[in-house]
Amino acid sequence: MSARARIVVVAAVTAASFLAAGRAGATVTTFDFHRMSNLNSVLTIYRQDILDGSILNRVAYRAGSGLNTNECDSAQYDSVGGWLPAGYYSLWGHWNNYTGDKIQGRVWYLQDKRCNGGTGQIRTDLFIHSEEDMYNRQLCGGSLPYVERFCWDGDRDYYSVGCIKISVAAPSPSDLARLHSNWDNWSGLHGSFVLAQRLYVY
Amino acid sequence: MRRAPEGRRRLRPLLRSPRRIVALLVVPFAATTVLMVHLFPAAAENPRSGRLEIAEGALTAPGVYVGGDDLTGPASSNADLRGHGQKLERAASSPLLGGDGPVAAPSPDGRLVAYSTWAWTRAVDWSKAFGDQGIAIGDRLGIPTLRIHDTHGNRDRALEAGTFDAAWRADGALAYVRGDPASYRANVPYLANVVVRASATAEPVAWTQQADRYRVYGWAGDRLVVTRGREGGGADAEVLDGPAKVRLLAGEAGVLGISPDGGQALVSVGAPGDGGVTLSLRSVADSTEAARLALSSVTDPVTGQALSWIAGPGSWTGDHVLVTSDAGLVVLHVTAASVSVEQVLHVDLDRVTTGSIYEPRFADAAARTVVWWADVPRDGTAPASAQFVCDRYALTCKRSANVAASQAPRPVYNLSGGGR
Repeated sequence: MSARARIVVVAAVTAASFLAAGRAGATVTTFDFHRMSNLNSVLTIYRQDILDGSILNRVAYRAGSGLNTNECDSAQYDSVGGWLPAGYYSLWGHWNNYTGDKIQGRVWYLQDKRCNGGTGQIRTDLFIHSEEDMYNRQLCGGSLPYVERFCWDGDRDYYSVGCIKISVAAPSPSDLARLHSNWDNWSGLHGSFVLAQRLYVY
Repeated sequence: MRRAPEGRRRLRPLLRSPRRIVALLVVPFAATTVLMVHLFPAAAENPRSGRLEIAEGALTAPGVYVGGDDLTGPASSNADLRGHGQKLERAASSPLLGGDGPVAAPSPDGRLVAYSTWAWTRAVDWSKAFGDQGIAIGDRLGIPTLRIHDTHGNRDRALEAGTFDAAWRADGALAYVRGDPASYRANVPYLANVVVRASATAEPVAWTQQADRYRVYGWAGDRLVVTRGREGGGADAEVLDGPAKVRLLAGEAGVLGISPDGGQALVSVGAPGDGGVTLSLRSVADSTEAARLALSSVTDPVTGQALSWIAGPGSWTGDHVLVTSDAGLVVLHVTAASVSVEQVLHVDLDRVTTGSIYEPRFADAAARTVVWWADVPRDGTAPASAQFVCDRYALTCKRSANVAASQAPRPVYNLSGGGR
């Protein structure tokens, strides 16, 4: 096969792929996080056309991150951490019933990130999450035990050790429930996966 | 002539003269005052809380510092560094630890410096997503290695791969963590064991048997205070009484300092931001609490708001402990049975720093001079840092010119306490 014929074949296959994707209404679901303060920043979820990047849907939620604004302050050793470092992130998983030690329930798992333009500390264990247990329940007392890290009981819960936190407070559906619904409707991916450049923090 | 009785005769002249009465009162008062000033200088000049006023200026910070591969100490007790600085074999760097602990620690006699280094095994552009660079979970990205620099002979050698975070015991034993495996891998927790060498040249002995998110804080006499990180952030403070002898010092706690005699540790217990943080002074020998202080009782002198968080590593000199907080700096007065606040030094963190202060240290025996560093706000320029030298009695600081963040002048210090 000549070089010209090869190019034609490759182009045809590529075009067919795009057409197939377009027919399926191919979209991509992304986030951005605008850092404004530890307790009051904005997390936005987008549904974008995969071909031209145009925004089809967009929903913004109040979110928090960190205890201070130093993106190089890790909470690994002292529970005091700064907000999430700026830059692009890969998204490496989403679970409805995550069973971590301090973080449970509906979470999105982010890549590690070295702070301060790549000169400072490597921040690890980064998620988008709220305060609920692995069964998506609020452990706020009553018939269930009170566990502070699994009970959203006020705006101070927007503080985090570096992750992005979103409210699971009433009224129903909560911000977390609506965000999760957006994700389920637009992406639907669950479990471990590898999605490059799905979160931008600034 | 009639004589007065002896007793009355001695007293009468004194009682008759008001000037002498005043003199009698003034002389001992003055003597006491002079004595107080000499014995208790702090009592004569109580440090007040307030805003630290910061001005740019030439400064020479007391102590030893490392910035990149430059080891300096023009105003230190190390004679080998007073004349001129020395070049390290590698740049000091510890991206797994950041400003949460010393990147370099001096041996008890100051001659040796154990410092952390880092080698990337793969180029990473941290402004981009891992996925855009073909980096997958578990890919090896870098490896830490602890090195020992002899300031007397200006020699330098490496310990085993995967090591960092050193603390010296009073007799010269060296504790640190050793990764298992040695490399940092993308999005895989860096698990390590705590190991101890009886001297810098002795063979390493594992003090923990199961690799975990350990970090060595410092020696407390014969015992080793460590933190064990938790998934998702935060840590427990633990004590290693010897190899494989692990004991909880305080759950969900950050270590702020170890007392100079090694008998006690000050920890911050509870989740910051929830208003329930307590400073707790604990016996290292049996973990019992000797004193506590609710952080909510401490207020910022400028904003009037209660502090949200307090963090180490602290600097403990005599009865004073210096730590960072959301107000700036806090000086605690700590005795064997009490913890109280002596001074809150407000720093406009958002204007002066990128959000918090790193590694504040008392730089003199009187606990008057304070040295710290910070990353500084940038406006499109390369990341930069600066050093600050403060007189906490005068509430003034000198700030150095900006340097590249990779050259930040970091203090060389050992967080250990006690002898052996």
